[in-house]
Amino acid sequence: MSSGKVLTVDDDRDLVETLRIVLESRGYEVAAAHDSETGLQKVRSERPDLILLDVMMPSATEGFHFVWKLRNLEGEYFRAVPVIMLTAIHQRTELRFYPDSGDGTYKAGEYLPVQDFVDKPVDPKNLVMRVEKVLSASRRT
Amino acid sequence: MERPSILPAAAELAEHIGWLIRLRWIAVIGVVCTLEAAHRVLGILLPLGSLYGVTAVLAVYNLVLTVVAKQLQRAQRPGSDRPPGAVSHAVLRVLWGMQLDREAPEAAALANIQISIDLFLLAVLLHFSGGIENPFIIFFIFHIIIASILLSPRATYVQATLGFVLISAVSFAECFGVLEHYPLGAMWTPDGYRNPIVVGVELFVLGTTLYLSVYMGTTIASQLRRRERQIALLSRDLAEKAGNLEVAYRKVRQTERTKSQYMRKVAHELRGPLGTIKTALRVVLDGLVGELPERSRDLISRAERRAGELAELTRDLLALSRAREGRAATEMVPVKLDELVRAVYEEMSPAADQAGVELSVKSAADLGELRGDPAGLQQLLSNLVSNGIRYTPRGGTVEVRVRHTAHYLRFEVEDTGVGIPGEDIPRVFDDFFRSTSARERVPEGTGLGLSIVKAVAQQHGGSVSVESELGRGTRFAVDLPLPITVSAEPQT
Repeated sequence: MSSGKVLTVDDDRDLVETLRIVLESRGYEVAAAHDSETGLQKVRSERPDLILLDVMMPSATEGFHFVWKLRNLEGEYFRAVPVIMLTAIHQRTELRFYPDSGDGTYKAGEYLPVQDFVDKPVDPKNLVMRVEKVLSASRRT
Repeated sequence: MERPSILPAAAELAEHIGWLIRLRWIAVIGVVCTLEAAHRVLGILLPLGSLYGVTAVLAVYNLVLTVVAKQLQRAQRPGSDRPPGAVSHAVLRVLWGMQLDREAPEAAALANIQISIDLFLLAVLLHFSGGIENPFIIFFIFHIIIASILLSPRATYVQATLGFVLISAVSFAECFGVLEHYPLGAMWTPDGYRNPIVVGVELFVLGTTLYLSVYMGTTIASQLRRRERQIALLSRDLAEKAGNLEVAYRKVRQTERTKSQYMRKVAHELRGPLGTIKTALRVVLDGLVGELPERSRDLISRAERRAGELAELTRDLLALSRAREGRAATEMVPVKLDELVRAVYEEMSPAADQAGVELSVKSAADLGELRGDPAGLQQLLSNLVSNGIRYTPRGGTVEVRVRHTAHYLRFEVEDTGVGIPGEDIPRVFDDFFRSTSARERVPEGTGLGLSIVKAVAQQHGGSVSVESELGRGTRFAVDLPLPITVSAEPQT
């Protein structure tokens, strides 16, 4: 029985494998990608129910580009699939001020269209809690 | 250290006195030559004994002055702490109590004495050589020119008056027979213009007057030009030094930035692996990969805790370097203060509950906005609150107060915690410093929390202060300057 499919996109392979253990222990099916290009391909091919995305892989903006490319893909699914950003807590407020305005530049005052944040270092219990919360919210809609 | 070569007022006056002394030697020679010429060549009958006597007095007095001036010059030489010699002191004290020039009282007094004595001696010389008849009477002019160069305007007027009174007294005393008159003979006959001696003497006086005027004028002018050149050189030198300082300062700043950037890169590189280690260990501890023997569990739990400490350290180092590197003004964005305070409250509430500490916020209804770095500001406030919670025993309180003053926004975080020992207070904002009371209560800690608070406050042009009483509590206050107008629109 699967409680959903989670795609983890992070260039830290060790973290991806660790998170796989956590998520699989809760019955999730896990797909993994280690860069944003592969990540986007996997979104198309695997159609995950949720994406766990690292902000910084490996450049400081790649996570942002991933989100904006994802949201600009054709189809309702790509606009709606929930994303949880993996980040450090003090970056949380900063995130909302650096969204891509579509042409590769960043403008202030908007929110990144993601559903939640999980602080790094990732606490397994917290991660599971967040994942469940976001997934149940997205299933209701 | 090399002193600038420009002459301060005192040294300049001392130099002028030296010049005056040289002029006086010329005068002594001039008087002797003139007297010799007058009686040997022109056959004018003069009281030579008296005249040579006065000249001798002039010579001796100039000799004394030479010694006094030398001592003065030595005393004023840069680096010398020797007072003016006893002789000069005695001379100055006895002869002149006035201090006309505040910058060089001794030298100014010396100049005054000399000119007064010179005037007096000239009057005496003139008295013994025809008084009002003597064409050299015009030489009073030179004394007054010298006085106007050396002395203050007031002192020069006093000297001019003194000279005039002296020669008037001599002239009238001769006129009324109080003093004997020593006539120059042919000089004052009605047809003196027919007498080649009279014509020669008059022309000689005029000639010496002209050439002495030229000598004095050009000497003064060249001195002025020299000083101008010195000033020009000095200002160029100063400008160059200022430029060098500027360059050095920029280099230091650049080094600081490089250091900070390096620290940030290192911390950033460490953070990823550390986070992964901590998460992996946590997964093992949570039993997700099977049950652990008790001893393994204990060890891994220790390792996980230490990895967590390191993760915290790298996080703090990152925040610190970020605040210290500063950010361009364009990266500062409007921060809604209500949201900021609420976010910190929500972030910290669970920790406060867990510690049994009551966390409360008192703030004005509408706090408005502040232009700044939202992440930095949030960390500033959460660091202060988290410190308050960490160092306050169960049952205590941590209160956050936010209010506007006219030009500042003030955050205050006050706790009823363990406090900071007085001797530690000056160091609490130092990197890696933790007070003894803090270490006793919580052994772990990066010692960077308050460094970050200070760096962020400074990054926003503000400041932070602390008051604490050991065992009673601590109050931190952060003042951040507000823009002149508080508006809802982002300011460009």
